[in-house]
Amino acid sequence: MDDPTAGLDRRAGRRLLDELAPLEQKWGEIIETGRQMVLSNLAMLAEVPAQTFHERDRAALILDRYAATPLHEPRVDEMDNVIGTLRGAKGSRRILVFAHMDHQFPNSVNQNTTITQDRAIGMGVAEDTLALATLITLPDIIDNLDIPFHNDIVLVATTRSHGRGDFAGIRHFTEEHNRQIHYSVNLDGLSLGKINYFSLSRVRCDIGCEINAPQSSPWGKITNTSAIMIINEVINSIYNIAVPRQPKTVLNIGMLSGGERYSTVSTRAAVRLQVLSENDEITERIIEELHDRCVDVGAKHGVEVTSEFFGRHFAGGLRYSHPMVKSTAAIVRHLGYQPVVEYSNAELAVPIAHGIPSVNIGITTGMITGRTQGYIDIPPIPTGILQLIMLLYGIDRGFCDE
Amino acid sequence: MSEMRNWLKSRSYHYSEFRDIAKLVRKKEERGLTISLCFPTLNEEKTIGKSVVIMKSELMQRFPLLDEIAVIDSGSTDQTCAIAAEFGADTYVASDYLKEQGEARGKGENLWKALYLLKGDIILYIDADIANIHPRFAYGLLGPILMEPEVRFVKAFYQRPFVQSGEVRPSGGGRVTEILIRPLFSQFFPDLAGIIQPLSGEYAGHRELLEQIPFPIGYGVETGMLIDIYQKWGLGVMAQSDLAQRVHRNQEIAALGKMSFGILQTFWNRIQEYKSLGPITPESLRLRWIGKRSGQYEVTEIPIEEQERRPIVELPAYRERGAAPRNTAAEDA
Repeated sequence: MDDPTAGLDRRAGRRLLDELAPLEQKWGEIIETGRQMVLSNLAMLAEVPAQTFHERDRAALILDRYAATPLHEPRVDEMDNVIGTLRGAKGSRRILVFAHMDHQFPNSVNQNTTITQDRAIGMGVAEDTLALATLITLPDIIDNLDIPFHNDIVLVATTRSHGRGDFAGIRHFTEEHNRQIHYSVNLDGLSLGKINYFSLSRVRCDIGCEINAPQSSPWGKITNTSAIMIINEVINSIYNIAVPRQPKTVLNIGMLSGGERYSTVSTRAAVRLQVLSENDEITERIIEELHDRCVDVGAKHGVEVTSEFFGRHFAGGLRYSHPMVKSTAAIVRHLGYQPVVEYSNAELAVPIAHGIPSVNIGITTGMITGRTQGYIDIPPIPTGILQLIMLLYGIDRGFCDE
Repeated sequence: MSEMRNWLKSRSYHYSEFRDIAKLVRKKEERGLTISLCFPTLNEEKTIGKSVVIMKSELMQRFPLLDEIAVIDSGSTDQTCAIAAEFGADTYVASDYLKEQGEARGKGENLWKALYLLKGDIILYIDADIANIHPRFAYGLLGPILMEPEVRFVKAFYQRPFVQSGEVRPSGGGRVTEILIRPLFSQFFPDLAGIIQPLSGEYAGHRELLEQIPFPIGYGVETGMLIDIYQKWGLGVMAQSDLAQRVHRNQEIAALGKMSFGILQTFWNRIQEYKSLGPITPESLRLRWIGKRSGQYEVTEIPIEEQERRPIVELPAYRERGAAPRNTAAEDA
């Protein structure tokens, strides 16, 4: 049975798709050759490690690539973001396209990419590198397509997106250029069809316990209070925090570490968690409870249990009825994919918090894995790029205005 | 030796000197040259896709430096040829061509048949197993040959870290070069001791040179090529280019033994052909090492003269002392 919403999306995007119809085949043929350039950039980017906070070498490579394109005044800012602008012909608005350049795994990990007939395989390929490769190939693709964009398109490769980086790169850029950006499109490698257009209320918390005592054997001690046991007590206490189903809220304990040896009482332990909620007030309430419970457990054992909160996002974003989301959905359906709408837990939250209409889209299909190599499917890449070009055209020509 | 020192200074380049690829393209067009890139392969499905994609995208689509990219294969049983073809390389199985010359299988066979199959005035050979392939592997070698008309053959050198247990480790490569090739060159072809990585699998040459030298089929192809070009045209037509870093699979010691034995045969053939097995002179008793000081490559000469003592039994002092070995078994009896 047909999805009844498909017709609604198509209707909403009909004017845009009608205008694009005569261009689409020509664009598709040109973008097909762009596939090779994206893969080439992907392979070369993967050669230059860029663990979060250590992105400078990769930034230099991106600047080098930007400099060889029609981008106006490519530059690196104080946060090592690499910025370049494709000048529009007559418009006064600016459309931001961005992707992050950093990855989470250590630089010593072998990051070489393998390209087979239908897949590119490697560490970070799916999560980090494909979107970045698409971003830095975009000036060449647009140049080859010869599209007379009216407005400026600002391309930004951002730093410090993962973990404690806390989106510092895009935060810095957005704070500096907030009023000059009218729309933003955030790129992810995976998955083609997804449309993220709102962010949830979020906070991350690192809870730590450190006992300032010399390492000792548990055998001769009357009490056996260890940092691990204290953190265990904190976790038990956290699970007693009321987390409502409505508005939907999730408290996830994501990482746990502690201890030094089999034979000694642990002096250090930590737990790392994230709270996601549809409601900012609930997040604020949980933050307070987490803090209080850490203090209580620490006081009971006579040690300090620290709780450090970071990565705070506030709930916000567009509605599905916004023309930018509707146009994106119409394009995705037109290209043969099912739109998958969801919240963004990533950099998109930053322009959203600044009130900039924003969506996050994927370029191809594939698989992200944690510690092993992920992969991307090569055949859908031209479709993913075509989707991006059509969306930029739609924004540029006012189809996404409310 | 001074010729080698001068050559080392004037003919050692760094790829970054040729980063302006548009300039190389202009030079190529001015000189009316065409360039073919050959990847010799045998079961290289893990790396060939990336190699073809990068070279095609950067040096054919973005800058028309290369006119042709081809894979010449020794009969891979994996997807090497299919992957290369998918990304636009011409693919040839070496054994399908020049059959009347008899059957032979090896890298040198592929390089030799590349001259028959490819059309370029300049042939660029790049090994297909480079994990960190980059356009510099092509433009870094083509730069000297395009910009300096007297240079007609360019050899690569680089740092060689290797991948082990999923991590990239500092260099452990170049063992055959330092243990076998450099001592042999120092002794028999001292001018060639200035070549930093004689066994590198990346080089570019004018067809008019390459078509006039024999090609060893197996491990000796690089060594033989260097000696033959040197003997026929001299050091002046040769150059070397620093390509920074090449990540590769580290080879087992047994594989290096096989390689060394093959190279030794090629070497021995050349020594006999060029009658280089002359008397040992003071010049040939110096091992030459190449190092970098203040950004310049320099040769360090270490005199090594193996002296020998005659059998001690020939010494009167030894015999008078009555310390000659005794037949203890006979004494016991």
